Amino acid sequence: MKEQLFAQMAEELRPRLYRTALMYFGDPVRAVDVLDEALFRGLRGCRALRREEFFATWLTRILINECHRESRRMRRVQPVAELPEAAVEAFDMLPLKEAIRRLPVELKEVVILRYFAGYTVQETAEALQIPQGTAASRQRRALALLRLELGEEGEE
Amino acid sequence: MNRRQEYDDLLRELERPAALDAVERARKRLRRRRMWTRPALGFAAAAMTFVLLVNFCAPVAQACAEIPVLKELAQLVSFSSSLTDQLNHGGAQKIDQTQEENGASVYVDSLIVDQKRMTVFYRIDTDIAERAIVSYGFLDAEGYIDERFPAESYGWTDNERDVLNNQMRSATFDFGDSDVPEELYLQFNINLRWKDGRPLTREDDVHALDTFLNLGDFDARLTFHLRIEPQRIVQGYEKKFGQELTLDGQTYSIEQVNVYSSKAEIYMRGRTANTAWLQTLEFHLECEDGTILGQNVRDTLWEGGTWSKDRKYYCESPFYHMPSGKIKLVITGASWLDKDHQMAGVNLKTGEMDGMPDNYEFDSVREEDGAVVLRLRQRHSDLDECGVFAGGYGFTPDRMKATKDWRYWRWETWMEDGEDVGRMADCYFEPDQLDGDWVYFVLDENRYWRPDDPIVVELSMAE
Repeated sequence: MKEQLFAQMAEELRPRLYRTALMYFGDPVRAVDVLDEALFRGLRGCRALRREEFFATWLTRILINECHRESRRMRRVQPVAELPEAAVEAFDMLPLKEAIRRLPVELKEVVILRYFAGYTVQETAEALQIPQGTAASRQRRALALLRLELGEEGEE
Repeated sequence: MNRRQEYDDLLRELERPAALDAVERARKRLRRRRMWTRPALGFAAAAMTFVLLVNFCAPVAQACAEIPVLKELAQLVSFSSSLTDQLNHGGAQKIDQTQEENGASVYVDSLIVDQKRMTVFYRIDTDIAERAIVSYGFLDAEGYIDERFPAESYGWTDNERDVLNNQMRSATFDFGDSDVPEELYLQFNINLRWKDGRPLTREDDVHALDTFLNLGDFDARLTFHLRIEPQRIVQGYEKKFGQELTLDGQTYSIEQVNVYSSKAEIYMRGRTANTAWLQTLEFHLECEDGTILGQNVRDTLWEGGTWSKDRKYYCESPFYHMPSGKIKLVITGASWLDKDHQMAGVNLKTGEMDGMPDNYEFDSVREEDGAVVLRLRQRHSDLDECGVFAGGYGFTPDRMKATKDWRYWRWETWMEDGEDVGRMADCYFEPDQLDGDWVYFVLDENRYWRPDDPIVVELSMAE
C-alpha cells in the first residue's frame, strides 16, 4: 500500500481508532499519543500491506499493540488495578466508563472494539487475532459484568 | 442513570471530533526521518573524508587490521562523519557472537559506542530468505524488559530496508536521558522476507503483517549479552550557554550545546515576545581544523512542537575536531510560523486566499461523490520539505479554530510542460463541515528566510 492511500484510509478510520484509544485509557491526551504512535508505525509499515481489505483490522491491531505498550509503561508509574471477573459487585458500583477501564484486558478490548469503535465480531476477532467464537464469548462475559444489554451487532 | 443511558452518553461524548491532524502528524514525522539534510556539504565532506582516511590514515588502517570486516564497516559508517571519527579514534569493539534459531543466525560483529549512542554491526545469515525485518529490545538478565530501558526510553534507526541477508548491517540506539550502560542484553526480533517484502511462512496472512511492526510471531528471537568495554563509553561535553542571537528579527538563545563523539545537540529557546516560532533551522558547524559538519541523514533533525518556544537540533559531532573546544555555528536559513499567521483561509466561491504561503495558488472547487473538493497548487519552494500544514482543523494556541474537519486530502504531482513544478492538493470537505464560503487551515510554517550572509556564532565548549 502506498503512503498516500494509507493517509486517506487512515483518515477515514481515525475517529474509530481515537475512540478505541480513548475508551482504553479514558484520557484524551494519552489517547492522542497512542494514536499518533500507531499511525506512525502504520505509515512506516504500510508498504508491506498488500491487501487493502485488511487495512482496518491491521491498523487497529497496531493501535491495540500501542495501547498494550502504553499500559505497560503506565503500570510502572501509575498502576491501575484491573478487577477480576469475580468482582461483580465492584463493577456494578463503578460508572460505565470506569468499569470498562477496569475490565480484564481481554474483555475490555473486545467490548471497546465492538461497542465503541463499531467493529463486527469478525472484525474484532481479526484485529485481536483470536477466534471468532472467543471474541463472542468475551463479549458476552464483558456485557454481563457491565450489566449492559446490547444487541449482537451493537444495536438493541 | 441506568447503564444504557450511560452507554448512550459515552457514545455521544466520543463523537466529538478529536485528534484531527493525527494522520498528517504521522506523515510529517516520517518525512522528517527520511529527509536528507539540505546543507549536504557536511555529508559530502564526511564521505570524502572517510574515503581519504581509509586510504591514507594510519589509525584507520590500524582499525582495519583490528576489524577484518572493516571494508564492510566502512561502507556502513560512511553516511556519518561522527561514526567515521569514532571508528578512526577508538575503533570498534569486537563482539563476535553468533546465535541461531529456525534457520536464521545472527552474527554480531562489533559495536561503536559513546556516552549516549551505540551502533551495532551485525549480519543475518540464512539461505531461506532474501531479507529480514528486525526490531530490537533491551532485556534484563532474566529475559524481561529491562526496566532501565523500556521501549519509550530509547530510539533506534537502521538500514535494514536496503540490506540483503548475509550482508553486514547496522542499528543505532540512542539512549535519551540515560547513558549507555556497560552491560546490556540486546534482543533481535527477526522476520524473514522475500525480496518483495512477502513474509517467508505466512503468505498473504493479515496477521503476518503485524510481525513487521513487532506485534506478533517472529521467525527468530535472539538475545545477545553485550559487555561494553568501559573505556569506549566516551563522555561528551554538555555546556549551558544562554547566548542570545537575532534571527530574522526574532530573538533566540542557544541554551545548551551537547557534544558527544556520536552526535551534537543544540538547544534553542525563543523569547515569548517573539512574533514567530522557529521551525526548521539550516546550519552547519565549522571546526577549528576546517572540517564542516552538517546534519546527519539518519538522525532526527529537530525536536519540539510547532508552537513550542523550545527546539533541539541535531547534527554531526565536532568532538574530534575541536582541540581547544571551539566551534562555529553557522546558520544559513530557517523556516518560520508567524504567530499572527497560524491560519490561512481560502474562499471557495471566489478563490480569494487569505494568509496562504506565497507558493500556494487557488486552482478550483468541484464536487465529487457528494464532497466539496478544493484544489490548491503548491509550487516547489524552500518550504517544500517540511509541509506547510500542521493540520486542517482544531484550535491554534490562541484558540482560533480552523475549519471543522475534512475527509482527507490527496496530493498529485503538478506538471507544466512536462516539468514537475509542484504539487496539486485536493482537500475533501463534507458539505456539512462547511460553514460559509471560507475554509481555514492551520499552518506549520508560512515563510522561509535566508540571511544575506550566514550568521556565525562562536561557541567554546571548554570549561
